[in-house]
Amino acid sequence: MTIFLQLVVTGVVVGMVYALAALGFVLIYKASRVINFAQGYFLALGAFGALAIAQLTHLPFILAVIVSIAGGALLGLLVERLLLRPMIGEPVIGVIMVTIGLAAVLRGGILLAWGAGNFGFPQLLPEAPLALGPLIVSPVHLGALGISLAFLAVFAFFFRNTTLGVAMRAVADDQQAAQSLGVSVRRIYAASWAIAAGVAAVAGVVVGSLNGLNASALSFIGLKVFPAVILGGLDSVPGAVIGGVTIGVLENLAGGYLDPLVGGGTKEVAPFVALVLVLMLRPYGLFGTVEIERV
Amino acid sequence: MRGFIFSDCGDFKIRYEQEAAIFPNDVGRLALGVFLIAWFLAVPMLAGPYLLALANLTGIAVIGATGLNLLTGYTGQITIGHGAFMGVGAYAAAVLAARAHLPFLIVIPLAGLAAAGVGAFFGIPSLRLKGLYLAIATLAAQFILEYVFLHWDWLTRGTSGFPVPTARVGRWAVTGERPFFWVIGAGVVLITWLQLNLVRTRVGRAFVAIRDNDRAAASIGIPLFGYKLLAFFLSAFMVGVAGALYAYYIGVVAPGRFSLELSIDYLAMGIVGGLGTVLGPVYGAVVITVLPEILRSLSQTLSGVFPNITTALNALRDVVFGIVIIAFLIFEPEGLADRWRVLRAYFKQWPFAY
Amino acid sequence: MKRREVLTALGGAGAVLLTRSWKGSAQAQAVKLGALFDITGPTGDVGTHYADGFRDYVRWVNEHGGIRNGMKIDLLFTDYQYKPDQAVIYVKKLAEQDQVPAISGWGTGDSILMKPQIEAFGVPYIPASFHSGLLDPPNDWIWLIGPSYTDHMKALLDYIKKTYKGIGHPRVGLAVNNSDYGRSPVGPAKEYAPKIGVEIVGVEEVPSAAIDATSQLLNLKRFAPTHIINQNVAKPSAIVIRDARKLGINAQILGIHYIGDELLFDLVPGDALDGVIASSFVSNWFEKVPGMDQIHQINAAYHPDVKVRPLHYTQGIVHATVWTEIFKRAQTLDRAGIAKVLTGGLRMTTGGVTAPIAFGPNQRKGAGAIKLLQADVKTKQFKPITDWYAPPA
Repeated sequence: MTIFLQLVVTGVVVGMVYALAALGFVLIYKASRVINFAQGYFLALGAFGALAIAQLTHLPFILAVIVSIAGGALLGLLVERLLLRPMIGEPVIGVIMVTIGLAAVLRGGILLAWGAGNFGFPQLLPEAPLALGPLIVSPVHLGALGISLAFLAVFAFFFRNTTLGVAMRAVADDQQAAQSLGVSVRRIYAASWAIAAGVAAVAGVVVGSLNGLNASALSFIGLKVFPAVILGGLDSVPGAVIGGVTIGVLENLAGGYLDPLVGGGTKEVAPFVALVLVLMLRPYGLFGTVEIERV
Repeated sequence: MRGFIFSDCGDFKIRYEQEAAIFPNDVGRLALGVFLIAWFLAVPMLAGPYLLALANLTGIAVIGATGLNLLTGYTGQITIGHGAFMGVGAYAAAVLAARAHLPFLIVIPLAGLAAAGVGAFFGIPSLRLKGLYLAIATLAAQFILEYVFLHWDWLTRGTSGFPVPTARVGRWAVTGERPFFWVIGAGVVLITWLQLNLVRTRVGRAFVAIRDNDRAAASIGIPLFGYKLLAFFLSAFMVGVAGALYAYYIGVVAPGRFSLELSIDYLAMGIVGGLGTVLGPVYGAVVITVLPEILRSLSQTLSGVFPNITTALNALRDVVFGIVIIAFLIFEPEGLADRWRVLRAYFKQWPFAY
Repeated sequence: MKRREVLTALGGAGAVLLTRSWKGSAQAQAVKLGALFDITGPTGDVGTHYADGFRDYVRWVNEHGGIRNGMKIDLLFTDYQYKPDQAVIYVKKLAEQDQVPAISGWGTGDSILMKPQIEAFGVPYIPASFHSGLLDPPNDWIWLIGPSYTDHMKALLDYIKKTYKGIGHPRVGLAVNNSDYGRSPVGPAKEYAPKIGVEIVGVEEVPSAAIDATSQLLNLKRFAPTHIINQNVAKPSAIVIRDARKLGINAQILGIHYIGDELLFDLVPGDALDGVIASSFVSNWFEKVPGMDQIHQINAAYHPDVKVRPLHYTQGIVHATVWTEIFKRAQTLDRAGIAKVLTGGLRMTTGGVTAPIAFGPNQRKGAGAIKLLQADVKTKQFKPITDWYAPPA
């Protein structure tokens, strides 16, 4: 039983990170109907950026993280302006490939700048694990959980109570209606990309503090996001959170119980098997809006 | 004997077959004949092993890209799983050759069929999914198949890799760049011929109808699901053949090769070359295969000036690859095939403007 | 129009460069050495340092007189990212097109796959892998630089048996990389352990890209292991060490050679790394041996801002040193001549960086001894706890 709970707890923490990454993903999809294959690299850049800023400017780490988030937002704006604007009206495969191309450029850029090695963040929290009853959690995990929850609360507030948040929801619901009410769709696009990239930076920093920084490990999270958002619904923010946590728990349970049977690696593949199942049974996920096609 | 028709100066077609002909006049046929003779006879004699190796890898890529083009360019179903389907073909070839001891000419089509079966299986979601969702399903297929390659040790030998026995055609052992050049060249010709004819038939027209407006296609009586599955089947067959050839050519099948990167490479070949045309995959495959080699040569030449450039080669390759894709998408979304078409039209009408 | 010109120019330049490399670079006064490195792949965390060491030493030799009479070493290398088929393609190119007289390899898996090819080509090949299976017959062209992973594993098991002070017998869990490299010593471990009264309680695979090893370690924890041996590169070893501490597993952790040594101090948070033991066939960066001073010098000359290097840098230098020595003693700088040096009996020392190296007709593993090092978190060093000793046969 303890093993089960332990796996669930680890899964929830990891899932929260997926939720943060998924959140950015969903934001972009909701606003501009684009699947961002480069989301994982936004994550990685957020983490590496924070590290570089901290090392170069000797700012306290928290400030470096904030600067990195701002930088991430800027990157999101640039991407939207330079890459997505020209692709308006192009078929969907073109848009997918543009984000794939962007992912390649970012991957190469990170490799050029930092190399393929592993880096560590400075330690902010004590390392000794805490015992909560029969479970063992490390303070870093709790910190990650706390930060993720805090951000999600901020977003919930943002979308419900701020003008920009409501405007973004309006644009996602019905672009033309929103435009007719005076909402600048272009600005909303830009804002959603900026916020998504910023959130990804936060997620990257959180993962980096958990597991160290490694370009390929961080970017792989960008792919694990897919099962999370499909499960939750491509255009649902609460769905992203629930999807992320579920996938985190699922992969840890799979790793714990199925690995001994099949010899390993189930952690990596279980989310994608779940993805296929969800696509077959309920393609729009738990909370996604069903697309109705008209001839 | 009909004379050599140099140019069409008017529309004299009175039958459907004439309309569907590949070459409107004899110039294309002559050019094709000359090209084939040059390719199969002259090139192996003149080119060194490095260029031949490059040509072989490109040929395999052309076959795979043609398969992808059939599914994505002609039927409009986005797939990010073709790297894994190629792997299925490669592993099937390795297993059939090494364990069942089947000869080369039988293994290749069988391996293609194995990949086709798997492709059709992962095409089942196309019954309910379209566009992005289908693309994500194929992404899942990619990862699931990679997992199988890596962990189904009994069949695939996992990370150790699966050595493939030498290919034999009759008594002739196919080893070395030149024999593979002919074999792969023959494969490219066959697959391109297959593709050309496929798109001219009812099946091809159904595919295009599904791509353009699948609900309208359904309303005129095209069974959507059947044709979509067929598209997955045929497309995976082609890429499976490419995988089988690759297995024999390299001599070793290892899981790392058939990754998401490869699937993306194939998509890139489609985009750069031009989706929805028969020659598009050829151009795309050439560009995407030759580009890393050019980079490598470039970096070796420049390594005198920048000593560390070779270690940065892989990173540079990613950056250049990404930039090429983005550039093509923004400036030349129809691909090189379209550019060639425009160029040809320009020369056809020269010196007139239109 | 302008775009067309630019594209044509690029295409032409590309074609020119391609044909250039097709003709191969012909340098009169140089001996070619082919090398495979993994710099950005799954073993790149240790491979980068190995590559640096190897290339630095070659550069040093070339700048200080070359092999003889100014003859330089032309190092043809690539970062093959641990992809076996890339290795096969590159080795084919090296052997057929560049006509190299020798190849320095890297990974276990691809070396295994290329063994038949290497036999067919007849090219001397020394990998950075220590997989004992590479020396299995038929083998005329492969040598190893040091003791095999199996040798290391047996040495560690002996050490465990010797130092175990608890009740009953030691229970050892293995955490290995999910590749041929990782699995290399597992079979021999399972065979050897019962003979000396040690129980292998479980084998878990931890991939190079893992960010978490909780489930694998929980599986081991069920058996209450007293020791955990890592056969893995730096990053996953760090994850195992970190997660073992997190899960409250009180086993003594050991590792074979590639686990990363000084790299681990940055990867493992807190003091979980303290007391971890590593086996190595090269001396540690901080040891006071004459050969190590020269290595410090070389590193400082080309990388002045890197103060500490893990053992893989040293290993790269050792490999390059051995190749240089082979080239110096070869009568003809071709494949047969080089093979003759190795089969004829090559004895050399590395100034204390490794145990004395001896190749011979029946000796295909160069260095014959290893030593054990232990991590000290306070000084951020791995300190030797034994002297050179030959691992059990």
